[in-house]
Amino acid sequence: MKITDEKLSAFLDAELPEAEMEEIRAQIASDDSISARLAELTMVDESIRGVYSEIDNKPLPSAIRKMLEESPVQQNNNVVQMSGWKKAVHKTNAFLSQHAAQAASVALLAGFLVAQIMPQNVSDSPLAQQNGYWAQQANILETVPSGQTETLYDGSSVQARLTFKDPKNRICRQFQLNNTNGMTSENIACREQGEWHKVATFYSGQNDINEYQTASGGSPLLNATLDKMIHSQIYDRQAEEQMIQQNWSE
Amino acid sequence: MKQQITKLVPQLRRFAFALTGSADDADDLLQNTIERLLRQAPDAQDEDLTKWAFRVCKNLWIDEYRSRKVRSQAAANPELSANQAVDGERAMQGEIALQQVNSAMAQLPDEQRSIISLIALEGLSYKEAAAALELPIGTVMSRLARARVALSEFLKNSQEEANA
Repeated sequence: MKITDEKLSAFLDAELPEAEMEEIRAQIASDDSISARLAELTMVDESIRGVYSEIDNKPLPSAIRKMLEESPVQQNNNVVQMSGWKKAVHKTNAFLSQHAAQAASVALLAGFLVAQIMPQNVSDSPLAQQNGYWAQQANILETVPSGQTETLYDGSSVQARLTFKDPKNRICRQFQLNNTNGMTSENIACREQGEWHKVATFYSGQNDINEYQTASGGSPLLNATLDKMIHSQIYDRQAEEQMIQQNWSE
Repeated sequence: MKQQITKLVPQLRRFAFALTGSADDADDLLQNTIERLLRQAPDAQDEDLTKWAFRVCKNLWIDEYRSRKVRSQAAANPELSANQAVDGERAMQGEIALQQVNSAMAQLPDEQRSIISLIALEGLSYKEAAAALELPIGTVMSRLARARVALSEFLKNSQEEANA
């Protein structure tokens, strides 16, 4: 099979039949010019992602937030679960006690729940898994317990902060990303079919968010979302480490 | 409906940024896209809404923003905003990277720019991108490859010029 740019491009996206994927893998291994070409095409994607994902770090204009605001979220039995999880966090994870301190205002702030829910897929392509920005974060979620800070290749740092189960019985982790521009985001990712998918991102330290911040400095959007998402179990350090060892299978 | 659209906002916003090359234009385009979606979106499943939303965004970009190109002129002559001034050097590097990638993306035909944004940036499958842009999968595959090759050449050349 002649390996054209089109084939390589589709290889990059894991969009070829497995037999062709395998053949290209074999040729990459034996032919430096093909692996160099693949690297060039991969760099294009990296550049695009690197540059245009930056808008994630800019607060959403309030005009857009207002367009999408719903009427205040009805409080239901989540309230009971809320107090439960905060107690658990307080007891088991000292480094997370700041979240427990934010409890009081959460219910009132539920109306501001314009969470930036983003179903993102970790690409299936092997190279994207090695190189992708999200893939690196997903790898940290997969292997590092909460409270431990890890650095990404671009100098950004990631710290998982909390692990819990959502109402769909998925294991989810809240984590903080500090990028090299000094922007901080709190994120939530859930594990499905063996892969981590980011489901929400919240920005802090910016004016748009500050107006709603609680006294302890956390984003109320984050807390309100956690209140809705945390269904039952909060994992303490020991349980997290055990899950990591078991590759998150129960 | 609002809830479904809210879920799409981060994706649509990055897509709009990749199309316009300017964060301000991206937010304008996003706002107009959301307005259009709230006005016209059918009662659709999530999957259909996603395709519809990307299509609306791309069409609005082609209809309005490409012809106006007002702010994109500003993107070519960036000035540091207050936020970026916090870390001047890094912000400058970010601006240079943005300009470089914008210049490369500007070389692409509209359809190729949309395709590479949906697939490389948003992680859509070829099938999903084909559905969103109403193109055959084979066309998506070949145009994506052409876009990647063109961008790779452009970025390589501009890197060499920068190092010369």
